[in-house]
Amino acid sequence: MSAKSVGIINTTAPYGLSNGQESLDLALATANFGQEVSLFFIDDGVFQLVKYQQPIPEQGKNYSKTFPALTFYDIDDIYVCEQSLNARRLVLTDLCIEVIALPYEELSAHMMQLDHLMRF
Amino acid sequence: MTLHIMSTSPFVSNVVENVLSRCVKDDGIILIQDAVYCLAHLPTLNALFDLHKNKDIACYTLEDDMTARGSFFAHRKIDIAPTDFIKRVSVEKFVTLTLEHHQVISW
Repeated sequence: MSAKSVGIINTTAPYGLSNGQESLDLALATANFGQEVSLFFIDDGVFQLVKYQQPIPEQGKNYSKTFPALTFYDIDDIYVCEQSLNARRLVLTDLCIEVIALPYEELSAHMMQLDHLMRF
Repeated sequence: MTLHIMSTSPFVSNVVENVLSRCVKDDGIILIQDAVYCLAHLPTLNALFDLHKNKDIACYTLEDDMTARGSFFAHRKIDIAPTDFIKRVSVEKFVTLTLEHHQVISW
């Protein structure tokens, strides 16, 4: 089986929906099967990466703690939309992991090179 | 005297904006779930501040929902606009607020 490149695009804020948790599960599972995974965070998706999240159990699991483990799954291509960060007055030091911030036009260029794209 | 419960992010929908434009004197507004991101959205903050000043509208946010969403609210001072007028409340106080208002609307 040849490896495919998969792009997972996160566009929703954490806790209001379970999209974030599910996309992360998919990323880990896909990487476990030896595929190349790239993650993209755009629009309210950038809020998923904010540091020091402390949900109570009723709000769901604090899956932001899993982001630092992505590198152990060889998921190192993590891109964040620069315009989305700016609109939300976030800077890179507000985020819990190291990411690559790029203007949306460049993110699109990266996405176009991938075999599959999924949006959460 | 209505309590408006807002729960959507101002970055992805204009529900908050629409409701704010229809609020009347002595109404209350509580920001829960993704609506707590209103504190990072300058136009909404300004609209809330105007309502608070001009129509005596009380503004609240749910403490647990702010804390869940991380440092942006819990650890970083929001210096883009005055936010002191928005009171952080517990779930218990939220229940009290629903009893203190004549009607409650979830938007």
